[in-house]
Amino acid sequence: MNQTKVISIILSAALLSVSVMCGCEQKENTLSSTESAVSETVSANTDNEESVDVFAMDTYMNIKAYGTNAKQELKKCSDEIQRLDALFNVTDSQSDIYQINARAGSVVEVSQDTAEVIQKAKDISAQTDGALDISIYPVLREWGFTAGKYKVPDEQTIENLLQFVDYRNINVNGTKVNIPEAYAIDLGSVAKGYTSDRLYHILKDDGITSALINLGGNVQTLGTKPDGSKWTVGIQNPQDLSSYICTLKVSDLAVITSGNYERYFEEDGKKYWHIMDTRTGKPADNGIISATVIGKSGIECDALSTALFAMGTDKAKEYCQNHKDIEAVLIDKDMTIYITEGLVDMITMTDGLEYSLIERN
Amino acid sequence: MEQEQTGKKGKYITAAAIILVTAVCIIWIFWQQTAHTGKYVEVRVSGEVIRTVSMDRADSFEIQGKNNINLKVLVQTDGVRVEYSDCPDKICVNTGLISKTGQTIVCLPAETVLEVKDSSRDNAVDA
Repeated sequence: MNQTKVISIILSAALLSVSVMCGCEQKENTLSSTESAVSETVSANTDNEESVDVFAMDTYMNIKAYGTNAKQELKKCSDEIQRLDALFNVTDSQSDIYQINARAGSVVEVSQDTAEVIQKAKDISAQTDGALDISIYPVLREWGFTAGKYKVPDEQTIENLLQFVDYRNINVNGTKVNIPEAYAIDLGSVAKGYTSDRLYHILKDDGITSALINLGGNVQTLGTKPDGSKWTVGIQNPQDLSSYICTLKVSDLAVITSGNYERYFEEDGKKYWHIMDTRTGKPADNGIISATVIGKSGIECDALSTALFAMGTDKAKEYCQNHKDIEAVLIDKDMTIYITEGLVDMITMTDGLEYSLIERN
Repeated sequence: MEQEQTGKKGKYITAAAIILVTAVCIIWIFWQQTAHTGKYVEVRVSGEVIRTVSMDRADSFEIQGKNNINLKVLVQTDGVRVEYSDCPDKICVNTGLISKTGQTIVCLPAETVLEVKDSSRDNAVDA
């Protein structure tokens, strides 16, 4: 009698578990791994996810948006990217920036967007004591970073070009811009940040509550994921690009990284990257190999990530201590990871890695 | 005597039922495992999905990207890589092996993106 009881309990438990499993099985069926089912989950999933690839501003961009009107919204986004690219592209003779450079020494009438971006870049240059300077372009061009024809210029050439680098000589008056003769500017350090802000506002104004904007590694999140959870953004390990040093849980924030691995060349065993020390005219080599800035404004995060990278470890830490309004993750070349206090609740470090906290003054 | 026999019969039925249930469980678990290795690589050229290839087995194929750039893609069970490309900078080749959901290999000149996706859609990292 007792034995039968035990057996029947086991049996009913087993049957129950099977019936539960069968329930799962049916649901799982729609996600089977056959190729046809796969393409179905991509185009017609339950969240109304839409995704678009855009190749512009010399980088790969991907935007994902959710909701019934997501498709039209993404079309708007890609149009906006093309519009801004046409204004900012330094090599396109029709662009505002090309015109400013070609007519250096005289006043050029530009679009509202261009004037706004240049003014913002100037403001951040002033805040960072010139660590960011959009007039570094003649030096960057000499190194070959704009055309991909890399070379190490000689000291004298760099010295001569540095005479024409000073953000304070860029004048913006309404939509009128002028730079001195022999000067040239480029918006590479701020254009993507500005673009992500624009896309964020287009989507938000049209009622999108969930979107992920990724402009060549410059990430801007809108709202939360469709299920209400926060977005998980990884910060690449500069020494092993297939892994992350940490992830951040964010919503409605931009996460923008400047890294020495993004664009570089090697000559005689030495690595030269695209972020310049505006004082020396050489790749900034002051300790930092990756600087990420997290904040509401994409353009500010973009500009500041470049500036903090250029400043180097000591100055960048000091800057973070004195500016409560920004959050940052700095990676030193000895792989020490510094984070600001505001990130403690958002961050998950990769196993085996630890951070060192930058405390505010 | 009769009662004893019914008891025996009941035991056989019970045993048979348990065996059946176990068999169903094992089959189900096996099925579940194969269904869950739902990783695949999506190939997009200028934003259009031109191919999806399961990562359950090794494979290699060629694709024609934009600007007549050809790429050779190698799919292995531990990841995907671009083995060869006509592009000038070879960044796609140098990216090496990608395997985690959401990781991409990008060839800018060919406007080509390879992205690891998972049909169970449980991305660890969104960007």
